[in-house]
Formats: sequence, structure tokens, C-alpha cells
Amino acid sequence: MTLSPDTIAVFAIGPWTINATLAFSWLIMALLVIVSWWVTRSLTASGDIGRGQNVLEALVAFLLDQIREVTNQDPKPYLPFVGTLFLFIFTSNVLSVVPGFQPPTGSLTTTAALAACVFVAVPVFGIAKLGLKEYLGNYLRPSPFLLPFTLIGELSRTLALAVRLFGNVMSGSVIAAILLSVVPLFFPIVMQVFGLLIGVIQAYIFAILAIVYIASGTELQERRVRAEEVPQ
Amino acid sequence: MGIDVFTLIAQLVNFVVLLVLLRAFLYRPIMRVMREREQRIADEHAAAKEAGEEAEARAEELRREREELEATRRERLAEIEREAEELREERLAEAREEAEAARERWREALARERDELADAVRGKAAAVLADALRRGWRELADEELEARAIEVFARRLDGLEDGQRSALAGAARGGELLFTTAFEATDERRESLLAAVRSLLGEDHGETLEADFERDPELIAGVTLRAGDLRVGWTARAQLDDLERGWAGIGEEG
Repeated sequence: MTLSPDTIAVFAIGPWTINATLAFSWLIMALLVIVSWWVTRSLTASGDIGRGQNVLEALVAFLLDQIREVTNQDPKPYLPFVGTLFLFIFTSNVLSVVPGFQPPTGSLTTTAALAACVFVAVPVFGIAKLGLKEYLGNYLRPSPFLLPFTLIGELSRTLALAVRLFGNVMSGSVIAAILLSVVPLFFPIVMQVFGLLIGVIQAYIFAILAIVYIASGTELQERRVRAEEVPQ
Repeated sequence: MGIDVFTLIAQLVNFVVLLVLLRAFLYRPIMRVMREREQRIADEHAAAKEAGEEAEARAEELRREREELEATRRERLAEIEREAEELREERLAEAREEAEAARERWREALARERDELADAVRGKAAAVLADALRRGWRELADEELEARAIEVFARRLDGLEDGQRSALAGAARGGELLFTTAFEATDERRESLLAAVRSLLGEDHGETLEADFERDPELIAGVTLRAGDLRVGWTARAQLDDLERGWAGIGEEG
């Protein structure tokens, strides 16, 4: 029994061996892009919209509402990043019920890469909103002596982000595989459904935590700046 | 279970690529469409709000016009009522004047009828009185009364004015003297009458004075002399006629 799709080689391109993680990631990417293109090719601003557009707009509106609630800011700049995280993880986890599909989120490498993206996105959005000096100054507050702990906190939450998603998805797959070998009929189906639910929840949690971290690098600083501007 | 560096880098690239692709194929189009729809809804909302404001303004204008019309209607109604009241007062005044005129005409007619009735009563009373006196005179008239009437006649001749005397003289010269008596004049009375005239006219007529005599019982008593247009004398009938005319003229004089 394989615990990670990283170890499953699918094909090779020159010197590089393409494992199941990359292959299914590309599959998910292609699926998302094709569906997006197919739905958005016939978008209309009129009141009479199609079912696909309706679902898509509902999903985007849901994401915008979630981002707005967490950040108390205009959600549009964060939508592509958070939305892409959610859609990728959501699609990966949902497709895990398909026999033979190896969810990329079941790979610690993938979750680490996604966590690394969040790790990078936090300073990018913070610097874009507050400026480099103001953002870096945030690490020295309230005291420069807390800088190591702040850095450790940044790294640890990124690590937790990666491990949490990997652990949930991997454990679900492992449990399903074990039960499939022990009780091959009814119980694995229940566990698959349960795993599907866990996967959807984890996609939501990952996206929400990402926007929380991003908001911590923008909103809090913004709040402090506003507090300093009050006496003026 | 570990992290494959190649896969890690590849997944980072994959995520960035997916981010770029979804941004191009999903987020931009869907956000543009949602923005257009929001804009369209906002425009429609603004248009509806504007239409609502226009409708409210129009309603306010209509309300103001209705109030103005109502005020005009009240003023016009008050004016009509005032004109009607004036017309009613005018008609009432005219009616009062007509009634007063009718009442005045009625009073005049009543007074006229009363006067006519009074005149008729007075005339009838005078006629009745004159008739009673006339019957009394007829019963009292006799030769002696006739003689006293001739004496009165003689005094009246003496009372004639100069003009009347001249007229009498002219008539005497023309032989136009006519004595009328109630009783048959005896020669003695004829001579007495001629003597009275002769005495008035003087010596110029002497014995040549002549006159005609006639009898008129209607005179009741007395004598009259007609000389041309001159008429002089005293008769009971003349007295009764004077009395009747005087009685009938009592109301008119008052």
C-alpha cells in the first residue's frame, strides 16, 4: 500500500520521472481550466443566465463573502489566490472518490507547495498593501526581541497548514484502503462518503486559514496604522 | 513519505500556472460579468429611484395643482354664492318694489273707489235732500212768497255792477228782456217788475220799456230776468240747485 502518490511513477519526460502527484495535478488543472473556459465562454450580464454560470457565480459570491468576512476588506484582490487554492484542493479531494484517482493533496509535497504559496503570498499581499518598510516593521513590533518567535510562528503555521491537509486526506485514503481490504462491501463506501466530506471541509479550512494569514499581514497592520493616525 | 524537491518545485509552478490560467479564464470573466450586472442593477435601481422621484415630484405637482384647483373652485363657489345672494337680494328688492307698487296701486284704487263711493253717497244724499227740500218748497210756495221773491229781485237789480247795468240797458233797448215766473204774473206784478228795471235804467227808457213774460212752474217760486247773456233773479229752484251743488262739493273741497 502506497501512502503518497509521489512514489507512483506514471511516465517520464527525458530525465524527469512524472509521478502520480504531478500527473493528477495536471489533470485537475486541465479540468478546471476547461470547465472554466466552457462556462465563461457564454457568460451574460443579463438577468437570464445559464445553470453553469449560476453555479459559478454562486461559488464566486460565496468565496467573496468568506474573504470579506475574514478580512473586512475588499475581497477582489484576494479572490484569485484563495479561490485557486480552494478549487484545486476541493477538486482534488472530491475526485478522490473516483477509483484509481490519486489525490495530489494526499501528497505532503503538494500540501507543502500549497503552504509555501501561502507563506509567500502573505508578505506579497502585505507589502503590496502596506509597503515594504511598514510590512517589515511589523516583525519588530511590539519588540524586536520577539522577531525569532514571530519567524518561528510563521514557519510553524505554514508547516501545520501543509501537514493538516496532508494528514486528513492521506488518512482518509489509507483508512478507505484498509477497510476495503478487510470489509470489502458496505463500510468502505460509508468511509468514502465520510472522506469526501472531510475533503470538502479541508479545502474550506485551508482556504480560510490562507486568507486569515494574509489578513494578519494586512488588516492588523492597517488597524495599527489607523490607530496611529487618530491623534493627528 | 517525504517531500520530493522536484515535485515540490513542479507543484509550485503548477499552482502559479493554474492561478494565471484561472485568473484569465475564470475570475476576470466572471467578475466582469458580475460587475456589469451589478452596474446594470445599480443603473436600473438609479433609474427606478429617479423614476420614483419624478413620480413623487409629479405627484407633488398634481397635489399642488389639485389644491390650486380646489382653492379656485372654492373661490369661484364663494363668488357664485355671493352673486346668487346679490341676485336674490336684487330680486327680493324688485319683488318688494313691485309689491309696494301693487300695494300703492291697490291703495290708490281703494281711495278712488272710496272717493267715488263718497261722491256717489254725497250726490245721492244731495239729490235726496234737494228733492225733499224741493217738495217742501212746493208745498210752501204761494203768491205771498212770490211777492217777497220779487222784492228780493228788485234788491239784486240794485246791486248790479256798472257793466251788468250796461248789458241790461243794451238788452232793454233791443227788446230782449224776458221775465220768467213760477206763478202766472199778474199785471200788477208785471208793472212792479218793469218799474224795478226802469228804476235801475233811469229816465232814458221811460214808458217805452217792454219785456216778455212766461211762466215756469219748475222755478217753484221767484222770478228771473234774462237780458241777452245777462241773467239775474231769485228762484227757489236756483236756491235748491245751489244747495245741491254745495252739498255734492263738500268732499272735493276737503
